[in-house]
Amino acid sequence: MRSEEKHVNSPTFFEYGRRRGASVLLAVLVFAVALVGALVVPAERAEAMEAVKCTGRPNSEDDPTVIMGATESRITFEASIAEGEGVSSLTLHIPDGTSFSTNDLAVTLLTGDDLMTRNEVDYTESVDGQDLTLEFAEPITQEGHLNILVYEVFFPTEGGEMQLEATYELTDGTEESIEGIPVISVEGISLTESISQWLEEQAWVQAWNSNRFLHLFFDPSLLVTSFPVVLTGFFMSISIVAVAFPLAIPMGLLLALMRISKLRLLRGIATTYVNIVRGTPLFLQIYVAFFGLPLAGIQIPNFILGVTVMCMNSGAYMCEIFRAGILSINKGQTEAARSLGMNGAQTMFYVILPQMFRIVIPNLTSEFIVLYKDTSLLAAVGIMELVMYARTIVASTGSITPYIVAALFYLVITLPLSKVTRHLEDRVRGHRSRKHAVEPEAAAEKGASHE
Amino acid sequence: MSDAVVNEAEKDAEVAEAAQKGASANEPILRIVDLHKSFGQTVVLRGIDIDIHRGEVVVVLGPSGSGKSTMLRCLNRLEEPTSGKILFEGQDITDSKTDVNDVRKRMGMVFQQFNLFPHLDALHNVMLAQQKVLGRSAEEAERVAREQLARVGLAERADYYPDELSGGQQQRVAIARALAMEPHVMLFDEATSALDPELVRGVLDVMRELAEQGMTMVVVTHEMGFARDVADRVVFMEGGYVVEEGAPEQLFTNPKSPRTAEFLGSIN
Amino acid sequence: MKSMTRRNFLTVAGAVASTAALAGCGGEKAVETTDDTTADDTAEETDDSGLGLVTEGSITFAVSPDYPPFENLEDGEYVGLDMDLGRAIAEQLGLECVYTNLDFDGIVPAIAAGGQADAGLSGISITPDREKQVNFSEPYYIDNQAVAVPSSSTDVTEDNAAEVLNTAEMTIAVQSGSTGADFAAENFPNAEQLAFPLFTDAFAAVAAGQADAVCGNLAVVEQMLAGAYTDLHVVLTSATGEEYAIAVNKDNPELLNAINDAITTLKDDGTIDELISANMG
Repeated sequence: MRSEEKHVNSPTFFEYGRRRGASVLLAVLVFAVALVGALVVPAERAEAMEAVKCTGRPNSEDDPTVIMGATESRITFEASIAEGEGVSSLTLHIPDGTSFSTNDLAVTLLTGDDLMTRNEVDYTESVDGQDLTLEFAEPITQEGHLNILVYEVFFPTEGGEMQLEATYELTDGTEESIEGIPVISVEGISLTESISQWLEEQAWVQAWNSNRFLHLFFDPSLLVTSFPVVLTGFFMSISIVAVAFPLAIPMGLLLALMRISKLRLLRGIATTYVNIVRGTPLFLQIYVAFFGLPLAGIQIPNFILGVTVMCMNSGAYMCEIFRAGILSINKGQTEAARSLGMNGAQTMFYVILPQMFRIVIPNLTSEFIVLYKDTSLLAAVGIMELVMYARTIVASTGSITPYIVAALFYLVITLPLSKVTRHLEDRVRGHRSRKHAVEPEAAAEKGASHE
Repeated sequence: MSDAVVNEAEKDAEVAEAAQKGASANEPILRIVDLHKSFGQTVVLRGIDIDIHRGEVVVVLGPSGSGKSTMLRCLNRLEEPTSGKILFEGQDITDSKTDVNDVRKRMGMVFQQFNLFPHLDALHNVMLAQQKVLGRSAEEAERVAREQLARVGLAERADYYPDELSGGQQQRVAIARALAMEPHVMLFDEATSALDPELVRGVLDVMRELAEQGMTMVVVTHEMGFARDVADRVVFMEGGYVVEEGAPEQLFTNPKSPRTAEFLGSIN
Repeated sequence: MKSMTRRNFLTVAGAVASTAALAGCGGEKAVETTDDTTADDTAEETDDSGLGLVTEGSITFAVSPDYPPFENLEDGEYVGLDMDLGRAIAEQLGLECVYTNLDFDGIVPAIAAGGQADAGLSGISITPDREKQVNFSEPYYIDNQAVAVPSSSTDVTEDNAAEVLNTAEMTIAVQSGSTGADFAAENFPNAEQLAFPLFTDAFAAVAAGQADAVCGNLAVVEQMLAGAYTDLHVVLTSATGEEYAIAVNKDNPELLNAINDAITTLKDDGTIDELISANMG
């Protein structure tokens, strides 16, 4: 219907006719044909039933919109029924290779202007191969949408474009088929899903899972399915810190320099900022940034916003790390540099900061670990990071196993880094690894004597 | 500003010229006039007057707390004098208009704790300020650095980091670092006090050699031997005053002040 | 069997233990005091020691109070249909009513795991996935799905919502683990989905422009639009006919039966209808 209306109203069509007098006749002819088409075609197509939708319930943990083969799904089929047609039966032909059951089969007639009124339909179902036939106790004459839910659907393992077919019978005995049913795109079962399903069938896995604790925390099949999903979140978390952390370093440095500046204004700004950020929970800062900034008219894409908040938070902590680092450097270093005629900035950049960075590396590594773990807080504002992926699977499976997988993804980064931090701390406390052994002092003095 | 720079440059040139001619041999390179310094309520210097002439080696002696280190640190304004004047090559460096960095590059300083930059090897310790302050190229700075390291006997330690060097070697690198700036005056602030006794000699030898080469030096030290042998003049300070000054043989053998005698007696 | 032994033990020590436990539980747990007399009256009818409760003498419901008019916190009070229903059920069972706060997507797993709460009461629709994890009581409310967009948005209208929402340019905010999330994934697979632990944050995200539309249960969407988000409007509804029910651990059929009995009573005497009309006004 809509396409025809468009045709009639087409402005170019009218303009064309008005400008070119000679073409008016032709235009009128075309117009008439179109008009006739508009009237006649729907009349010819006056089908009693038309497809409204046909969808499968997504069943992949990897992607919430993907429907996979060989994994439980559900088909939702909806078709409109014209008033007074009297549909007495409906047969759904489920695509070959797809199994289904009539358990929980739900057939509802939605009526009303907004189709929000649900009506129970009295029917008997029968199954013949791939055909699911519903014989209605009374022919449906009411205008509305017939909604059918078929449960325990398993699409073919290899997936493909699933085309449902449907035919219906009217009270007068005519049989019609419903045209234009949308196909359901089914993807082949993912490797992890098939491994997981295979695992579920293994006796040892079943024995393992019969232990409540093991099932809740270490379900082998869930370990396999959650891995690639949580991995996606891992990449998200890592990329957030990978961008936020390096950006926080110059920010923290700038703040630290401001805090030790002689100018009271700069000192005041930096101190206020650092105190506010360190004195409030990161969680709160995330909420303010995600819901507050946009309300203030600042529209920033989600990922960038996430990175910005993490960076601004970490910058304040780094400021204190850097400041402590700078203050820990012997005053003699500044005096030596200044006595050589270097100005304050040169002293800072060529003498103090290079030494400071060496000292703060362990603290910076710790800060990295904290920042990485804190990305989990972004789950609250819809950023699909590690924890968020894990919790979606937990919500749909009721097992804690995905959280265990998530924990592993944190540990894979934090454990080695902690070790590195410890090593670096030892080095900072002790000495640099020496290129040259220190010679016994007296001997060295003698050897070096130039007299 | 540019006028000032020009004037300064002229002055530099004048001074250099005068020095060459020996015409200004009587004009002190460094004049300390009524120098006072207090830290809060604590008065450390109570009016110091010392003139130091070109090529002169002045050794400042005195018990700890006498203010000798503070006096030295006032000379390149590592400490801000409370009042008084310091004239360096005719320029009042206590004047707030004076570019203190410009003054410092003509005045080398050696510290008790060496204060080498631990993140740089010996060579780069000596190169850094040459490049950043004097604007020398890396090649030029390296050439000078190697020259100065050779001068203090550490040519083959150029790629050693400070913590790979003994205290004595570190102090000699620090001297080379100061010398590389081609200063007109060298200030030594207890340069050997932090060293083990067996390492002191190497550093003193370098200082002695420097003195022989005609460097103007102000040396705060406890090394009586050095004072006796090398100093042109010895200044004895106590309680923020200059108690006595004079030629070493006179001051050591025949001190005028009983305080000086007492101090020398306590040392020996 | 182990828990049976513990339960028998607790029957003896019951009175003392429960008082101590209640006194010690602070934080998120809110103890709802029921009318003392009724509690006493009905106490004899139900042997509460047979219900395997987390805290003897109390029924602890896990709830995510971000879902008006079903559950919400107003001035620290749990209000809404579910909350009233929970209190009514507790009264029927002669138990103290305790609410413990959990994110919605954590409720079903928490009930499945046990130990945290006895039952999930938080506008939970019965779905086959959830039925694998927990048992559901008799349904007490039927709800549908709705999608709302900002009124300022001219791209999405009631006429084109079904198509426009299913395009890559759309970002749809949902509550993590909700039927709204499933509905959006099934019907608008091309759109980007933004999942929030709290449903209220999904609305905040749309208001803030982080998302183009919000999808969830109709009654809640309508309630939110009537309250804080008057500048949104509903562009699409779907009569999914989801049945809200109370989730109970699979190993606790006794509690399920008790809750079902209570619901039946409350349905029959008209209490549930009253609560619905009181909360959906």
